[in-house]
Amino acid sequence: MTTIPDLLRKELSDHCAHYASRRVGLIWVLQKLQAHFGGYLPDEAITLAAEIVGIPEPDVEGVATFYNWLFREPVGRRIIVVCDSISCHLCGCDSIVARIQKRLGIGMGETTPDGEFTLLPVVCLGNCDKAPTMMIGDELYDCLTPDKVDEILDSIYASAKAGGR
Amino acid sequence: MSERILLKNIDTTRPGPPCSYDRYVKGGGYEGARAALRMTPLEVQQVVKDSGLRGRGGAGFPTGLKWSFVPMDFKGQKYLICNCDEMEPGTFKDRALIYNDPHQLIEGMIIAAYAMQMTKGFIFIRYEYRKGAESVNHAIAIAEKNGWLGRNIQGSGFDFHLETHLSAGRYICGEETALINSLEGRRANPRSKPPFPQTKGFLGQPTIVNNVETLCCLPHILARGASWFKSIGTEGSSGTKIVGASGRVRRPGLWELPMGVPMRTVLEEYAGGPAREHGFKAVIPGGLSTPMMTPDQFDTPLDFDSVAKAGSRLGTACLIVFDEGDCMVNVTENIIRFYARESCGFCTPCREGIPYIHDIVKAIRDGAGCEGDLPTLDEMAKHIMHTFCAFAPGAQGPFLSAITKFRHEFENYLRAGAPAAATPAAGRQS
Amino acid sequence: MSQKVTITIDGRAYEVEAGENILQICLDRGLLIPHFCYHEALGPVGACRLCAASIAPSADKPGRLDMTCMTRAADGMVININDDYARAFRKKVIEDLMLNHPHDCPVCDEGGECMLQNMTVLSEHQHRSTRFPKRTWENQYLGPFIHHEMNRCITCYRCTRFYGDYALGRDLGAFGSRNRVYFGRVRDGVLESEFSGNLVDVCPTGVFTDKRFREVYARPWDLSTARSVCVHCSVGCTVLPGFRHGTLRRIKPAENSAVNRFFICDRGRFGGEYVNHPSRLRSGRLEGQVIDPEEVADAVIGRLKAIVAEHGPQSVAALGSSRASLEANAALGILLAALGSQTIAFFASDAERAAARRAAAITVSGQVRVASLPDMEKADCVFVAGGDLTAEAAMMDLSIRQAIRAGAPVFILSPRAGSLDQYARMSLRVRPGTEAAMLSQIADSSAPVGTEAQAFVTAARQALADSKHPLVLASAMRGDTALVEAAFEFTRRTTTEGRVCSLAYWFSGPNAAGVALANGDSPPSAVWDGIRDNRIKALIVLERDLSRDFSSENEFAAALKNIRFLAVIDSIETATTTAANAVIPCVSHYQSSGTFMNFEGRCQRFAGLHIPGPVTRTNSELLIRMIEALGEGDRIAGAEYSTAYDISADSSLELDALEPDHVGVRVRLGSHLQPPSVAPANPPTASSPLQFALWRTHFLFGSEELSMLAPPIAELSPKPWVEMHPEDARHRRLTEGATADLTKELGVSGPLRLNDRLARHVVAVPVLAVPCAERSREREEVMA
Repeated sequence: MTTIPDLLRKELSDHCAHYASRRVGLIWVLQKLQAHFGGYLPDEAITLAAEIVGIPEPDVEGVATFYNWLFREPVGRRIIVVCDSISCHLCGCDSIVARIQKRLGIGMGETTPDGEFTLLPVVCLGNCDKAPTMMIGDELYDCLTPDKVDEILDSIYASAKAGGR
Repeated sequence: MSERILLKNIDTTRPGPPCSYDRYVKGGGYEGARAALRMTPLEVQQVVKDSGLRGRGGAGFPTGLKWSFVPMDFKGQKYLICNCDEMEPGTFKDRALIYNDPHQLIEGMIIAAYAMQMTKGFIFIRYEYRKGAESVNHAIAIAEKNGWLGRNIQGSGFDFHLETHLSAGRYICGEETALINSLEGRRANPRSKPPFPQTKGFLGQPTIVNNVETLCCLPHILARGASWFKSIGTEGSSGTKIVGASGRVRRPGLWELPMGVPMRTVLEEYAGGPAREHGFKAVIPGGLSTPMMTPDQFDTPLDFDSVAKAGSRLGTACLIVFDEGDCMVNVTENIIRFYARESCGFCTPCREGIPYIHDIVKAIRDGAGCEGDLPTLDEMAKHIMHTFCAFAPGAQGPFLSAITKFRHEFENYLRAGAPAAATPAAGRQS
Repeated sequence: MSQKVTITIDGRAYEVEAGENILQICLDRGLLIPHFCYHEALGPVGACRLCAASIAPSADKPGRLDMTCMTRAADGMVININDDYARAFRKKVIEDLMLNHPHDCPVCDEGGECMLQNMTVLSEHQHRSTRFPKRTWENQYLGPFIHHEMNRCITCYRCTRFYGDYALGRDLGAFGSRNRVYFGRVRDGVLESEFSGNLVDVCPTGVFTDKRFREVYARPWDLSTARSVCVHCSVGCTVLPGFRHGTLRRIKPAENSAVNRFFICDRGRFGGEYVNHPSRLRSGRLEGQVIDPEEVADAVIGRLKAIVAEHGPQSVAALGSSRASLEANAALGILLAALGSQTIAFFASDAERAAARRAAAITVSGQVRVASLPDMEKADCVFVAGGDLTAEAAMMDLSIRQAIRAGAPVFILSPRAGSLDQYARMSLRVRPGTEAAMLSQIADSSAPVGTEAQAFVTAARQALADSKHPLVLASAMRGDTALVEAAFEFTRRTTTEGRVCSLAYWFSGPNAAGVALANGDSPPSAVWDGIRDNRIKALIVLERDLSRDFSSENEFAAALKNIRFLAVIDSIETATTTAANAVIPCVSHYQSSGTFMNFEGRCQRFAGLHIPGPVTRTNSELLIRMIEALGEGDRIAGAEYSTAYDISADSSLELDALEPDHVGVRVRLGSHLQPPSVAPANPPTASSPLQFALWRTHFLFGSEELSMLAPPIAELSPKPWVEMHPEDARHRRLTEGATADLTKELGVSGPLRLNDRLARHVVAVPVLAVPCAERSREREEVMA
């Protein structure tokens, strides 16, 4: 049974306590736990969240499996989400996805063997005037072309190698 | 170009650093809130009613009327929630507002909160806008420091505590009751109405959920008066509207224009006409969940009533533009896939029906359509109108108009199979 | 106040309550609208979209398609169920659901009683046109009761709404989203809820099915069924046992609007399998000889006559049973009377008898309001005292959970926390025997309060002051007459202007309230003293394992030592039948007819099924045969039989008028039957706080002798242990798992468990109804 540092547990618990109902803090708690556990929610994170928030485990699992940005399986260090909604679709997101897949050797929903990237589709990123668009980690990339994708991945790999992970 | 009101501090072409507090105040910021705090809450509500402001989230419900359902004599906690879960495909206006001018939103929320005596507020922000949430959080801290948030705002005796909530991501969270469930730490299934959130919302307390752009109109209405606001736009839709265009236009972008500007003006003058050699074929006017309009309807003024009269909805007024080079079967497949993927799974026609529609459309696109598929799609289009919430009817808008207005394209696929060019690139998952 | 309005449904006018649910209105009137997610107990949610009809606010307005479950009746409303568009829509909803539903009806366990099948037929969907693959799932292990088959799911959310929202279970959820919604546990494991079996009934398809039923499967239409009353506790739920080929296959709840409504607990549902247990008596025995049951009965009469002739009529005594019907117990009394004796007892101890008689007398006295299960759901403040309600009267607990959902605070006074405690506003862990004093302190706001109980009593008094319909539930099965009295006093004292407090006691068996009202019975000590003093030579026992009344087998053996002749009528082998000179086998409860009186004084008839087998006689039939063999058959006819317990003498009750599908009749005793006089409140049993008090803990699975013979119940029963509060254990230098030998102080020993939700200075042990066969096997193992 994995535990979490007391400081983190206290932070999570205090956050819940600040609402009229502790459950309001659940999604925030799950986001924090996800960050703590390397990007996803292992089984023990569900148990921990239930304990900290004070609700039954199935309620936590129900939430953890409902939302697009909560992961119950391990993911890469960086998540690539490519918008495949209508405006990006018109502007060629398929070729962006194809280039990423070819370059990383993974399919949609998969993680590279080195654990660096997970590739996922995403709902419209609200950046339609600069389609096609994607996010890698916290960064937004727009007006993409397949060649630009290569450049972006190159620079990420380069900075990762330089220790800038 | 007309006067920029909501966008006056915003360069829509490049997300810059957010407008600072000082710059915001120098440009007349927080004057609206100051004016509101000098009035009684009911007077503020009256100003908003008089302004004719209608919700900018898509439904166009009169804001003042929505507010009036909040019980003013209610003793317990009431909540104000800003819906910044902008996930409607083709819509990118709220991003500009929260990334670039967070104080405008905060000021709008102060006004709304004061008008309904709501002492707690949340800004519900989609996960992908987390950097924007950071600038909002920063602005909240500054506003607190300057006495605009927290206890006893500007000595008025009114308290307002505001915080952001970063969503875990799901399109249905944009539906106000689903948003409330999500904020409560639940699965974002919509709730049945009645009871309406105005009387029984977040944690069972009276709650108002307003869109970012709606709230951003308030500082200007309060600072410059209801009649000023009403003088802009049309009779039924006052004020300006942030209008966007994306897809097959030369200059996609956002512009703040008076309500009622003809669609053609936006397409030709602001968006620079077609991006390719093809002429325009169709426009989805208000974010994805509105019916398609064809070039014969391009003179329709962009206001709530005119677009409704033309058989569609103004929605978010972010136009998605298609040209003659676009295959509408392929487009429909993309559209319906989005809805199938984002359905919350609560009610039957949406949960089961939309994926079924997607299976059929995809089969047609891939050259595996069957006789009878089109009548089935027609039936399904009617069928998904009777769902628990507006999600599936939203899907019906573009879907039904596509299979009606571009039926010949579907028929061609059924007759001749998929043309090679329309088949998507290999390896695409759906 | 309710207001009548007129609405039109399919062209006919109906007068209904304003605001009533349209779907329920239609279902009540036999207008079948297909539906899934709506359930009368669970309410509407509007998820399945099947119950659509055309609804217009008035005749001059056009009808719109809407869900009847989400619509409330208003004057002038026009509803068209048979509207073409609505029919087409409903058909399409079924088609939606069938897109992913497997085509396994011919081999599906649910087939024949599948709501999805029924609704599909009703909605006229016949043709499946989809050509796309169906979604599939992995199933979970959910314990010995429930089988899981997710592929059949139609996502109506009934399971989680029952399990979590209604029964407050915490281990079943809805996971995932869009068309990938999964209903199950976070991980494989035994479902924790005491009411999990109801998933079988609320699920409209075969996702949750009865695992035992499925093992030796029969089609539901092949089952022989007859309405019966559950035999496993004093609540008296109406059930529908189903037999096939001589064995009981399953038990389902039958609707009873006055008692259990739609549901039953898992003991009631899965405990009935005792009927099939190998230790069921299949032949008669006389002094070790196996003979025909009726021959034994005749021989017993011969022996009894001889004993009476030799030692006089007072040398014969009888022990009746709280798990046998009023009629059987009455017949036993008549048999005894025919022999000339009056010594008949029904309870395990004098204390239990006193408490049960007082509680039953109060229950039927009409002096206070006695709550039925539906009444309990409406309480706005609940006090539970003297035991573990979930284990001892589970369906009362389910009703209290409804009160909790409506906001009622619950206060529990008991030595050890049970399942209900997790939902209680506050619990106070008390020493056994002190509940009465605490209850009195709550009711009397001027009474001084000890520091330990200060917070509890203050909160309870406040909640009581804020309530309009408080409810007190107290145990009448542990011989605590003071508690019975205190609950009665509490109810009377707190019923004031603007507040009506109601009361209910729970008892030790399905007919304990009935036998508690017997006139002229004896305290059990009269029987045991008579045996010890050699005055009583022969004992007739009806459906009762006497060994359970003694704390050890040695004591039991010693008590029987002087008996010359022990005759037992029972359906199962027990330590008592093993020790008996004569064993007369009768059929099981679910094959017998008769009447039980439940905790609220409600008499409910049950119908027996005649199942072919080696034993065919009911306990009553055997007793009547014996009475007739004495030449006293006249006593059976006429008044004496039905008035043996005096329950019909001055009440509106006529047992014969009770049809099996009746909800039962609540008995009110007239003034002629004064409540039995009660000894002054017994002082707390363990007065010195330094002494340990023993608390025998009842479990839903494991403490009741019949259900313990059902394999899935036995699987979930606790193992023997001794429990202590961690502080007490620390003082005694005992650690978890160590052997706690308290033989000298309390007569118990076993592996120690620590429980911080046990009162201080209390030692708890589980009450285990270990089947006779197992006990003897264990003994053999020990001896070997």
